[in-house]
Amino acid sequence: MSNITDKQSRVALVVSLALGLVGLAAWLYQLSQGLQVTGLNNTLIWGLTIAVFFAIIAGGAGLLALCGLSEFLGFMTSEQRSRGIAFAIAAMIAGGILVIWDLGHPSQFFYLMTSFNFTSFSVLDFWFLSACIVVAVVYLIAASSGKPHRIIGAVALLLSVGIIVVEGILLANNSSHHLWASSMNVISFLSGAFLGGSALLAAIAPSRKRLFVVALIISALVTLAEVGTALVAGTDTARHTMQLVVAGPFAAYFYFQIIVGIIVSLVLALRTNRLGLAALTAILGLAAEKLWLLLAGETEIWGQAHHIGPLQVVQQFSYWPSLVEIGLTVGAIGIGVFLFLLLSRVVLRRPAVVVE
Amino acid sequence: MIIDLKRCIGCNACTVTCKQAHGTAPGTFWCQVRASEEGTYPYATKKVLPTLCMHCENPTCVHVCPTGASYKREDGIVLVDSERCIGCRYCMAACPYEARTFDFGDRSGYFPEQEQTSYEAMMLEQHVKGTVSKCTFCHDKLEAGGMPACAQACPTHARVFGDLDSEELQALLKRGAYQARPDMRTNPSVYYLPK
Ligand code: SF4
Ligand code: SF4
Repeated sequence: MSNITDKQSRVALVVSLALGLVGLAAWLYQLSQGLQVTGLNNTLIWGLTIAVFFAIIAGGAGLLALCGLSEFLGFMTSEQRSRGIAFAIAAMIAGGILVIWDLGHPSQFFYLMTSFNFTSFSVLDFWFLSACIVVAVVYLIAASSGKPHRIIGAVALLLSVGIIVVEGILLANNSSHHLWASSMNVISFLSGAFLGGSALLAAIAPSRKRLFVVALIISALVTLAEVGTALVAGTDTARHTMQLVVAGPFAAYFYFQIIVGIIVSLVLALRTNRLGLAALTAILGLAAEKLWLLLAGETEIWGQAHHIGPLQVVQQFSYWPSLVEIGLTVGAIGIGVFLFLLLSRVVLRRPAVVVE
Repeated sequence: MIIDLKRCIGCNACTVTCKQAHGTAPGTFWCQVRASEEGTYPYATKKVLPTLCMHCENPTCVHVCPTGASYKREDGIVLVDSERCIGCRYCMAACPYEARTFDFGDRSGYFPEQEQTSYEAMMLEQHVKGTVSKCTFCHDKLEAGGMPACAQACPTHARVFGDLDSEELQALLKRGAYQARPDMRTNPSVYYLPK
């Protein structure tokens, strides 16, 4: 991996800031028009932004967990660890921004912070994410000194795993959606975090490529197990829902995950040394996986409520993100990249990527 | 509420009266009649299912709501406080009956080629863009001694509203009444009598 020059780093800062502004503009437009400017409706209630939110948090929390783990297993240098923590902070803040941009009425967000309704996994998610970011910031400051910090590393590891489990259950506790309520859901979220974290790790520390390859294979196996079990051994509802995924309106996202997210990432990682690009395709694949999971699960209730079979469901639904949703997503990612570059310059006082 | 499926003719009077009473935006249905087809030609029949919020005793929508905007009153009616709702739609995912709708902000009215009528404009003002809403069991009418608009408008008296512990409703319940999706353990306050 080559050194990024100061000039390139400055260009990246400007480009990411510009993308962030695009996201902000898309959000202001959405606020003025309402969510009618998205591709969502009363059945498909969560789409691209929430899928990307899950993927970004998986990447950020997965990377933070690996940084914490490396305190004990020593597979990262202190420089790589600091960079990893900075990346994780930026990813988690970008995820937080994205989920706020997805709200219909964000001006009342204050009530989420003060309700302390811990039967709601959204509330747990909020507090876990906030705690993760705070701990990661403290960890970054401590790690910048170059000394090992096992206690804070362990706390970061636990919180990161915690947030992924909370997000898995956030979906799984909607028990009327068979696809989400499956016991595979938390496992799939954890393997997604392992994939996201190790992809970002490989981008920062190319010598950890093997971990990334293992994560890609595990992720492929978990997905195939999830899909295969539902198709072969599931209940009627589970089978019908999975048919929507493999051969119905959401198949494009499933095949994108398999082809771009897994196969292309594997080829890039094994045949070339373009690990940054491989990490990007892996995370895009992760977002595609979350997207088909959300969309197919959402249609289940509609089918049940109307007592109809999968054929009619197929005729009823399709989802393509609108330009506004794409703008929001790109914008939040831009803000994340901008934050990472800024943290690299200010806290770590080095350009963003170093030679291995 | 008890809905007698033998009496329901699927005329949608309840749907229309609910929309009139609450002035909900196009695409928003707090009360509706879901229609599907059963059997195959020449024996195919139309199956209708009037629906609304079930005002569950154990409402999953309330449990998952992060802000406390969804709440259950002492009398069992489940409501949404639009001044607390952040529009996260988690309650919509959690409700097993697809009873909730989101206000996507479409204010074009029922006749987009003309301006909103003054009634439309007045009623739409009461709905908050970007929040979730659902059937209120017409609690304001109940408090004034009336009954929900849908039950009042039903021409065949398929929708019977009252105290589920009363003699009249208990007698109806004994005719094989069932709740939708009992596996969800929500214990709905709305029962159906079989066709
Ligand atoms: S039907 Fe749905 S919205 Fe109504 S109380 Fe039950 S869970 Fe809540
Ligand atoms: S959309 Fe509103 S009512 Fe529903 S869970 Fe979110 S805050 Fe609560």
